[in-house]
Amino acid sequence: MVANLADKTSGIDYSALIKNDRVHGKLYYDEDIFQEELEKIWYKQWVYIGHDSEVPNVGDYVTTFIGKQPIIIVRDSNQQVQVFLNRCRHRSNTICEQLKGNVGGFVCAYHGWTYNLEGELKALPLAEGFGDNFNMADFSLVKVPRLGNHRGFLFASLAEQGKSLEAHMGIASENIDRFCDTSPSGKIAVSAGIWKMKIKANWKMWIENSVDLYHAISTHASNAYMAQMMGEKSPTLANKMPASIGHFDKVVLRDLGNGHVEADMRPLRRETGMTYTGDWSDGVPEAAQNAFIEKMEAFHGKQKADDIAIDGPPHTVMFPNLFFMLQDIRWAVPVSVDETWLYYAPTMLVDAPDEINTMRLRRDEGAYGPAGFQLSDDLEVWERNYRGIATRKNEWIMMGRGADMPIITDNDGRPTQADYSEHSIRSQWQHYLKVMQGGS
Amino acid sequence: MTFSADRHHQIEQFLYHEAFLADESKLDDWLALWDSNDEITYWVPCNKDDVDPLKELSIIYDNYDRLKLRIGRTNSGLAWTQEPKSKLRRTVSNVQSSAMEDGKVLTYSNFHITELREKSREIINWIGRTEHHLITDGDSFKIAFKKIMLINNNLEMSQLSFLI
Ligand code: FES
Ligand SMILES: [Fe+2]
Repeated sequence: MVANLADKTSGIDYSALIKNDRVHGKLYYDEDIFQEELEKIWYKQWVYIGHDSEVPNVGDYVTTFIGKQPIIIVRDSNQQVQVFLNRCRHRSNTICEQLKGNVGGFVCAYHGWTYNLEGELKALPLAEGFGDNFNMADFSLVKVPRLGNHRGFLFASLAEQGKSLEAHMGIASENIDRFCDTSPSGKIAVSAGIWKMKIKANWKMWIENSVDLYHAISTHASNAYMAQMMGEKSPTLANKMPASIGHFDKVVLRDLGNGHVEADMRPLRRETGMTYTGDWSDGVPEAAQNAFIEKMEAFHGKQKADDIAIDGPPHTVMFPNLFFMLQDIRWAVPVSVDETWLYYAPTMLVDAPDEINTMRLRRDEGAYGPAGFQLSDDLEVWERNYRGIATRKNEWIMMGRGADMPIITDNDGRPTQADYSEHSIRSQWQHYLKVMQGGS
Repeated sequence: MTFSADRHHQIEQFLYHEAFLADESKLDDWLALWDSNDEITYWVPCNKDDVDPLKELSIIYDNYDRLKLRIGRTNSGLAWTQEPKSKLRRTVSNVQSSAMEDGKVLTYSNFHITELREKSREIINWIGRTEHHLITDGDSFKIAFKKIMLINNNLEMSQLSFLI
């Protein structure tokens, strides 16, 4: 059913709006295009919805959205994660209005239909009046048609059929693995809370910026200023602040396929000898650092633990809405053509010494969240990005940095460019074009 | 223990003065109200009012050095969120004061901040409750601890880029 809806087309010629080095402003402000994105991307493709560590125990739930559709993620009585549309099977009321909690089941406020954690209708007042043919088993909560879980990362697709989650992720799944492998148990948890933000901007401005290295110099100029402030006090700390942004030309922007893009920090890190534990040394007592390294080596083996320390976590955006950076995962919900909700969560490393996880929180709070020294700059430029798009002359958005430079195919066969190229953003748009033309 | 009317009045006047300096973006003067040691905490919890900062995320959890950086950044002309600066007016009310065991003054108060962002013509309301721990300093006070409990700390919010 959902798939049929998605096949309807608005007749918009996307190839006329998306060129290699530029895209048309309409793609960000046009209501019809937004509606078509809901059908062809958000209600059809694999979309990130949450992490299973948000619902660790039986009865734990969180409510969230796929596009504009409210959903409930819940741990059922068999420890399985279920994802239901948040809608009563009687007359469509939402059945859960809390952001999160723990329940034995869901009771609809309107007429009292009651569902268990598996979504089965278990009780309703005055049931006899619905007639002999009424069968409670026909009125279970609707599950999202397809639910996938890669190392705790939950992806949902509202289409009954389509390519598998594995095919959708492609080699980007390795980035999830690399992210989780920075933990001495191979497991991360979204257990420390989530920043929730909203921007008056189209969702695509967020995914573009998230793989845009070029913006850091200007958007985050205040961070270089702060590095100077800190430098007066601690020269070593200053060296680690974004004054070192000058090195970002070494970061390789990789088109991972299916719209997923990585800003690969490994070449830079291998060259500069940055290590993951070294990044932390200011905030963590030596004993905790040593305990961490010991656990990493015990779990992963010495060689892999060393590689993880040098390579660090990935910086990757998985189309359309999941972004890994440093200790964070970030995801987006498109509310309307001009509003996007953003969720940023520092992840906790399961089984790591407490001091390491506390340090991850403090590092994150400095940079990110609604009041973070970096993210508030980004929140601002996204909104300016959207306000500028209201102009109706020369509407092409230029993203041509590196467009006339050779594209290097890496060992995985992925097309790459470095030197602050906008190749990363162009790669996202080429996938978008394919999907909006009916591909997947 | 609660205070005499005079003492309570003095405490209230301090909170109003702090609010005035923040509204006027006189941030160096505002910073001077703080005790300048590394024990201070400027804190905006996230998701709920009572979080364990060792295990849970905050929107802001500043020590003195980070607070100084925050102010330096805001004044730098490079913090685009504050170019142009938000216009701010805040009302502080429902002040309750009492003595803490260690001799500090504990206050709870409500606030309603109206933020006008010229660039987007938006008015944003920030509402919540504040807990202060004040150290008596001659005729005045120094702030040792300020915890700001926003009523919307568990919901989607826009940038928080002024000193709350
Ligand atoms: S709408 Fe839920 S019980 Fe009627
Ligand atoms: Fe940024």
